Amino acid sequence: MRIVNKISIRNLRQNRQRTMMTIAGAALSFALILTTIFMTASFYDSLERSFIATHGTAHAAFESVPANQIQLIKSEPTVEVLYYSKPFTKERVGEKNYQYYTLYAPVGLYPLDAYDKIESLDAKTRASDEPYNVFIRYRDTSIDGVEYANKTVRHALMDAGLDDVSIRTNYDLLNAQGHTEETSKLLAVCIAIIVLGFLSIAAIFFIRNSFTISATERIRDFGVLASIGARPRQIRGMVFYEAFYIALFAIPLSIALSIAGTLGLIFATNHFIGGTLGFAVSLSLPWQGIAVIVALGLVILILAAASAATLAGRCSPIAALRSSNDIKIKAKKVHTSAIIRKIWGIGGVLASKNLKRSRNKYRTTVVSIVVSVALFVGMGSFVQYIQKAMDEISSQLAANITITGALSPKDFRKMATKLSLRDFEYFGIIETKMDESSSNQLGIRTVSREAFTRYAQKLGYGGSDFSNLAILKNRADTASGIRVGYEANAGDTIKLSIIDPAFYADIIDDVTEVISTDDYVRDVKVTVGLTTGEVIMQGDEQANFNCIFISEDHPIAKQYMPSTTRNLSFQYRIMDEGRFDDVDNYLSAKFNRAEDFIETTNMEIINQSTKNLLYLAEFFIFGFIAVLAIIGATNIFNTITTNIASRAKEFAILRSVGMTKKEFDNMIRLESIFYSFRALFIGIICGLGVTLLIRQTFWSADESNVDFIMPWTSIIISIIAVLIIVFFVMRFSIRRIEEKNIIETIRSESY
Amino acid sequence: MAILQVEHLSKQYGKGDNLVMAVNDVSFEVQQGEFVAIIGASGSGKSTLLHMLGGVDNPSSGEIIIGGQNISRFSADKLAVFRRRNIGIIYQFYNLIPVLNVRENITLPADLDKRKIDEQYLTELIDTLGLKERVGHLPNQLSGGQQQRVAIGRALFMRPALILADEPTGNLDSKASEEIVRLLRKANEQYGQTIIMVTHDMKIAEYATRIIEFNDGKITADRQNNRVGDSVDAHRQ
Repeated sequence: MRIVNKISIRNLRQNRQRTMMTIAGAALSFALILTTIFMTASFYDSLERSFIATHGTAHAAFESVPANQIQLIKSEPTVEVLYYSKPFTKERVGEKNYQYYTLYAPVGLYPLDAYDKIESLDAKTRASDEPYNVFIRYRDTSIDGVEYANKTVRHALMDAGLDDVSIRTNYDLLNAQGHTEETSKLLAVCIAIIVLGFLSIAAIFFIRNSFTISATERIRDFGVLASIGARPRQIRGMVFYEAFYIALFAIPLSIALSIAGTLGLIFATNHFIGGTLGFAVSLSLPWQGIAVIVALGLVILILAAASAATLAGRCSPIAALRSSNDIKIKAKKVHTSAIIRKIWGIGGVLASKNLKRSRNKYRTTVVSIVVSVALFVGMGSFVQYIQKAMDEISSQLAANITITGALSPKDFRKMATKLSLRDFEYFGIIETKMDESSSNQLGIRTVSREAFTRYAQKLGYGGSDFSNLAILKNRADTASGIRVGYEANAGDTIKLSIIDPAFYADIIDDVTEVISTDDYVRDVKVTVGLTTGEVIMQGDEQANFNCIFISEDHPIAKQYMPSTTRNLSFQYRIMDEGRFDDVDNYLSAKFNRAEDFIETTNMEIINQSTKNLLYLAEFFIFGFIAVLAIIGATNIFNTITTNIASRAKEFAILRSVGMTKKEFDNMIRLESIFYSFRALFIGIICGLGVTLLIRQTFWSADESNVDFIMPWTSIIISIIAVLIIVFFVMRFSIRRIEEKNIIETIRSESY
Repeated sequence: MAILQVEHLSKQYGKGDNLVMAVNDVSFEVQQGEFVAIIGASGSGKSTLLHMLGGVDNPSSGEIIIGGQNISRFSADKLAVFRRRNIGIIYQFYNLIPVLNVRENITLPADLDKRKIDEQYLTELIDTLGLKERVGHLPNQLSGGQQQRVAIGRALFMRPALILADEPTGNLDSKASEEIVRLLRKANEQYGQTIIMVTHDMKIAEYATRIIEFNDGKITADRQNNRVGDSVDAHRQ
């Protein structure tokens, strides 16, 4: 080993603590990148496996190909024939399966095992013209590749006399294998580059500090080496050698950490949203990811060491030996205000001056704190926003079951009685004629009588006649104020043009004739009983703004509610808990659900899934921030311990002229408080900026009543965490120099 | 009146075969107003002795009594407070605080002691030290001689009972050395300061009124220097 490299290694060993912290910081940074790669790979691999399990390994099926022409497909180099089956016919697979297959299978391929998957055809069959479905894999799964393969196979078969070839494609599997539009691919690559770029820059930034500290501390050694003839290149090489040595430990450690991290994330994903995903995510460790981290890790370390290497290489022997660069200070730069002296005495003055002098050394610490705090506050409020939005939605959407489709209120009430449903409501839509010239067009919604009475009473209606009451919702409360729509007050009469539901009956009766709505427009008058800004019906844009609500017993409702349910005008909400299966089974037994498009949604599961998704998002976000914060903490540790150690002599002098331990501790405490608060101040301001940005991006002021959330909890946690970390690192560093003998410290170093 | 009493003072490093007696059972007294030079070869133990007298190094055994107080029994904190009030230390390498300017470095012990600054005395001291034009400068803007004068100012400012100077001219050229040692003598004569100075330079030692020779951790000679005036004049020539 060359002598300069020996020196590098001995230096790393001598400063074991700092070296270990640098390795930990680097390993965590790389692990963050590698975990992102592993997690993405694991997710897509599991997704692919799940598609293969449900839809088979085939990418596509060429349907009803005569057996004697299958050879044409086999001879195409663009596809690989996997297996065969008899064509799906009603007779063969049964009415129900056939319907399911024709309705739903286009999104994938129907599971074949149950339907006579044929591995190979015998010679007799191959010679016949008996039709078979031929299942293939595309050799090139890109969009162009698939298109080209389909074209060549189709041409080959049609040239051989086939009229047409039907191709059923397993897009789910293809997409999971990266079969996407070029633009999507580009977008994915761009996102990957941005994420990896961001993480790499963050890593370079964090690790760079350790090298700079190490180089600054050893500047005298470099000076000695230069004075005895070491070339700048050799000196630079020493720093890069350190980077290589750190990589030797950091990269394998990062691989181990990311495997553990990915396993943790997979466990959390499966635990929280396994049910929603429909498949279990399992670990996948692509060698390409490891190759990327080895290459990227080396590049990051070399870039991180570059400025320290340049600093070391440029150092002139005499300047280094005198350490004159280190103590070039201007009086103005360390000027301290009289207030500091008055409040904190000489300890405060020294702390403030030290901070100003070491501004560069502390910059990285300050920036580490700023980045961690800003992310923590910003992301903390992001989670708070989501929670608040979800709370609002779930409080308004208290329904546990929703039903849409061609189900009439009469049939619904029958079911409610039969199943003893206690709490439910439903809304109906009466179509109004579109008026292009008005931006304040009103809609009409009917409300089930019990619910309407409840809403009217909640809004302060004191009367007893609910069947003639009309509630006008013409206000929306948003964060930027109250938006007022249709101008009308209680007692005003509004004229409306509505479409007679006979229209729907007529178009269904006569599907051949083109019927205009103009002949079905009816003018009606409604007297407003109440106006409100409260939300009555969720999930309907017009109902939320500029809408008249009437009871199902209102004369207009009675006359104009659709006699047929074909226009799917009703929305049912059941608030009773745990009744989904009863409702679903009842509807399946009583109606032809496919024909009537009756769909039930178990909101209990959806709400739970959404909550779980939020927990998972929190887990990911805070996990990410925690790792960044730990990397920041290793950096803070290195900066503070080195800075304190490098000032050991200065501290010894202060003690020699009579500074007590208490005064000394106080000075150091003030120093840490000064820069912690500066960093916290900037970090919290940036965090609030991020909060505002998130609010503006995701919850536009016009469309939402989500107010700006002051993330107090995150701010308080940040302040406490930063002060604790800085305080303990400071204490640790001070202990080490306090243990040293004053005079030995003074003697060991000189300016 | 004895301002300093040293009784059976020892300092040893290492154990067994590696045992080194840097200071070996030393006893002596210094009267108030004396200017004592401790002279000896490099490694004789004279600086170790001085640092123990200043309370910045701990003796292995023996007692140090300054102004009637036995500092060997003080806690670290009590010693620190005692040091800033009663002892001024001047080092070979000045050891100023780089972020404090001349004025702030001089008043540092008083600031630590939260004392009101005696502006008149400070101005007089700065004038005497020849630093009038440099009060706002930081240490790195001063020459070696000027830095050592600031260190002397810091040592003198609290009017301590004892000033300890460890090779104060060791890092200076002959002109600056003479300036420094003259200042120390002036302090001794003008303010009646008791000074103990360690040096290996006989010429510098001749400025003192008493010379203690130190060798292998022991006092080998202790004499009054009756030719102070002659030697200073000779040196001046």
